[in-house]
Order: sequence, then structure tokens, then C-alpha cells
Amino acid sequence: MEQKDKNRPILSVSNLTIDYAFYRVGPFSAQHHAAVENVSFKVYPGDCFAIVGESGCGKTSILNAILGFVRPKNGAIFYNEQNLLTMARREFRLYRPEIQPVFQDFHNALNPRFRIIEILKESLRICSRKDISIEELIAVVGLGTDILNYFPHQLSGGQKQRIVIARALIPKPQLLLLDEPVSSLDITVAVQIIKLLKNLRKKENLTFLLVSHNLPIIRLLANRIAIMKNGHIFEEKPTEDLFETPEHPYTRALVNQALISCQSYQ
Amino acid sequence: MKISANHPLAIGCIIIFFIALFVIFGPLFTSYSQHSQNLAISLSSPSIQHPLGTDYYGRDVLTRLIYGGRISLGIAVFSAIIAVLIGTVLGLFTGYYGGFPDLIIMRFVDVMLAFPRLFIVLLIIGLGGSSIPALIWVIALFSWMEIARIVRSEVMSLKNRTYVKSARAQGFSVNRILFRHILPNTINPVIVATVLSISTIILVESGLSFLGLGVQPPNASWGSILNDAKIDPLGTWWLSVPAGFLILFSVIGFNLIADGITEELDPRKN
Repeated sequence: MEQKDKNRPILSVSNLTIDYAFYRVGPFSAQHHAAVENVSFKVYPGDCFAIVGESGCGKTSILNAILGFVRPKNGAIFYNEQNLLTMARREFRLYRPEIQPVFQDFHNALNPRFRIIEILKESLRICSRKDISIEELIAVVGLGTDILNYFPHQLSGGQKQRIVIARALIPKPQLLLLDEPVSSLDITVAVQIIKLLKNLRKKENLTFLLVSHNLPIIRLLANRIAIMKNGHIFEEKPTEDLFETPEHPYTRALVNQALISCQSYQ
Repeated sequence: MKISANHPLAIGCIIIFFIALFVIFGPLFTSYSQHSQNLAISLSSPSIQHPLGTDYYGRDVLTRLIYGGRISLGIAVFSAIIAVLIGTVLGLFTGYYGGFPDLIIMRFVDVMLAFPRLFIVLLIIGLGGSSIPALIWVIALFSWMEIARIVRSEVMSLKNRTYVKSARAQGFSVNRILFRHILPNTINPVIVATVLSISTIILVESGLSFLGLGVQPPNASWGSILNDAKIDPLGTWWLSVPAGFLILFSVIGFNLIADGITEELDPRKN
């Protein structure tokens, strides 16, 4: 659709502020809580950009805003230089297939009433892909055809997450939003999924926006990392720079913690 | 699906099966018409010619129970279907979209639930007359609220599941998400509520007919046959007891089916 220019960001978020209103007594005393404040970052084609931060710091809100599930209060989200927030609904639907999410919560990511084959067929039909068969598709994520007739609850966590990734690939996305893709998996399975994602990025020419609290896992995948706390991004560097020269005290604490657990992964 | 292991469903199905057989094929085994009167044998007790006796006008009670069952069950089933359709559609859309329309519709539901149903139905029937289609519509229009609430609350929790979010991200249309991905996951409580509402509607219709405001003579329903017996319920037990038992067993049967379906529809059940 567009030529991949290494110097033009595929995704550019600028001054994004996301605000949640909640109510104390009645509808007239709305309290606002800013989940994300003035966040800006750029993701370039082929990158794996990671946002790291503890739970509740606003990482997932950013992804929800990019996907159009949350309406930000301020700011702009440019996808290939088109502002997703100001475009018409109809136009936004054209861009939707190019940005696909993989959520943390894979237990609820597959419709419990459908067999795996029906889940994948449904997406293939909606995205009108006829150039790939279901068998080829699940081979891409390293699964065999035997699981196609299972229901989601009969699969293991790792298998479910592979199916979720396979489904996310169906609309031929440019950008994959990974929300804690491995944090509810045990380490051995997590490492397999990370390897799968790494291979897919190369093979399918994908760009990742990864969100996680787990710095050691991110180190295996990301080439740029942004550190986020309380709705702000305050440090953004290439992965190795961040591990070698962390500036902010919070980053330093995170890195030290990560280096200890990194040894256990290797 | 192993029905034999699911006792409530099996017993409920057997009860309703026999009641349905009785109501559908009953006329083949009786030679009387439901309206033919014979005052000479008024209120005669059960005999070989009249297995369940006769009523004041000498009409065969067994025959009237068969035809009355068609009306009682027919009203119940059709009212329940209409109520479920209204409730499901309103519940789906209010639950999915939320916001102001949801607020308005749900407050309307609260208002509707605040009216005692039997009395408001009585009022409308009393003012507007009680043909059978009118009974079906009036009962249905006062029975959809619980179902709308159940569906709405299910949809509100389901719409934030990640599979719904993924479907939205892949550009599925709202109708497809609602009817193909959310609705099938709300169907358990909907089916249970439907079957349960059939049994409550049987009771509402019987109550109306017992009060003389339901099915009008010469037609019969189980409630109106009970009504015929109210002058001397024990003395004319062949009028009151069989009709009462048919109502009782239909209600029990539908309740057992609802129980069994809840158990059977759990996708995690092997």
C-alpha cells in the first residue's frame, strides 16, 4: 500500500492525553483521572518499539487509543501520516486491518463457542483473504492441523496465544500491537512465543509496538524502549543504550532488577 | 449430548412430551366436540362415556382439557417468543452502545417492572376485551423486561472481552459482532429465561381465565376450566383437579427443562 520509508515513522503519537471520568456521588461531580499525559513517541517501519512500565501506568490505554477503543482528550495519533483521531469512521475502518492487537488476556481472546477452525475461517472471510489456507496459516505460528477441531478451552495457554497471533496476521497488518503478549505464560513457553514473534517480524516485515512490565523479556525483542510511569514517558533509548547508561533513577532500578533476572533466562 | 445423565432435562422433556401428545393428538381419542352441550348429564362424575366427567353444560371435561391445553400452551409459547425477541434485541443494543438511549430504555424497564403485571394486564384486558391474540400481545408486552435486563448485563460484560475487541479491530460489522459473537454467548440465560417465562405465563393466563377475564366462553383454557369448578371445587373435583394438575405439571416440566438446559449448555461440559 505504501512504500516503507525507513525515515518516515509508521506510527507517530504526539502529546497524547487520555482521561477517564469517574463519578463520586451523582452525574454532576465527575472526577477525572489522567491515565496518560502528554505522551509522544515515534515508531519506524521494522522497529520493535517497547513501552515499559508498571501496571496502571497507562500503557494499555495508549494501545486502546490507537485501536480506537478509547477517545483521547488531547493529542494526535498519526499512522502513515494520517491522523487516526480526526478521520471519519468510514476512513478509519480502512486502516483498522493494518493495525492488529495481540492482547495479554488470551483466555478471553477466542470466542468460547467456536472451534479454532471456525474462528480462523471467520476472520479469513471478513478480511477476504483467499490466498492463504488455514493449514498454511497455523503452520506459520508453528501449530499442527490436529488442533483445528478443538474448542479454545481445550488448548494450552501457549497454543491459544499462537492462535491469537495467527488471527492477528490474517488482515495482513503492518503494525502489531502486543499488549503483554507473554506475561501470563510460563518462561519456557514465553521464550518460544518471543522467538516466534521475532521470526514473524523478519518474515512478514512487521512493525511491533510492544507493551510490557517485564524488561528482561523486552530486551530479547525490542530495539527501542520507552520507560513510562504515572502516565508520562521520561526516558526513550535504543535497547542496549538503555541497559548500559540508564539515566533516570527509576530506569536504573528497573535495569538492575532486569539484569538479575536476565541471567535466569539465559 | 448425553441426556440420560441430565435428570432434570430428561424428566422435564418427558413431562412436556406427554402433555404435548395429549394436547396435539388428544382429539383423535375423543368423540365429543368441546362445545356440544347436553344439559341432561350436567355435572356428572367420571364414567366410561366421560372419563373425566362433564361440566355444568354437560360438556365432556376431557375434551375441553385437550382443547383448553392448546389455548393455554399456545398463548404461553407465543407470548414468551414475542417477549424474548423484544427483550433480546433491546438488551443487545442497549448493552452494546450504552450511553443515553440505554439510560432511557432501562428507566422505562424499571417503570414497567414497577407495575404489578397481573393487575395491569387485567386492566388492559378489561378495557379492551380479551381475544386470544390480544391476550398474547398484552402478556408479551409485559414480560420482556427481565429478558432485556439479563441480555443487557451479559452484553455489557461480553463486549469488553478480548475476542470482541479483536473482532472490532479486524473490522467486523457491529451487527456481525452482536449477532454472531455476542448473542450466542448470552444464549444460556436467554433460553433459561424463555423457558421459565413460559411457565410463569401459563400461570398468568390461568389466573386471568380463573378470574373470568382470560379466554372467553365457549372456548376453554385450563384456567377457565378451573374457574368453572370454583363454586364447589371439592364436590366437582373432576373439573378442578385434572386442570390443576395439568397446569402444575406444565410449569414443573418447563422449569425442569430450564434447569437442565443451564447445565447442558455450559461449553466447558464434556
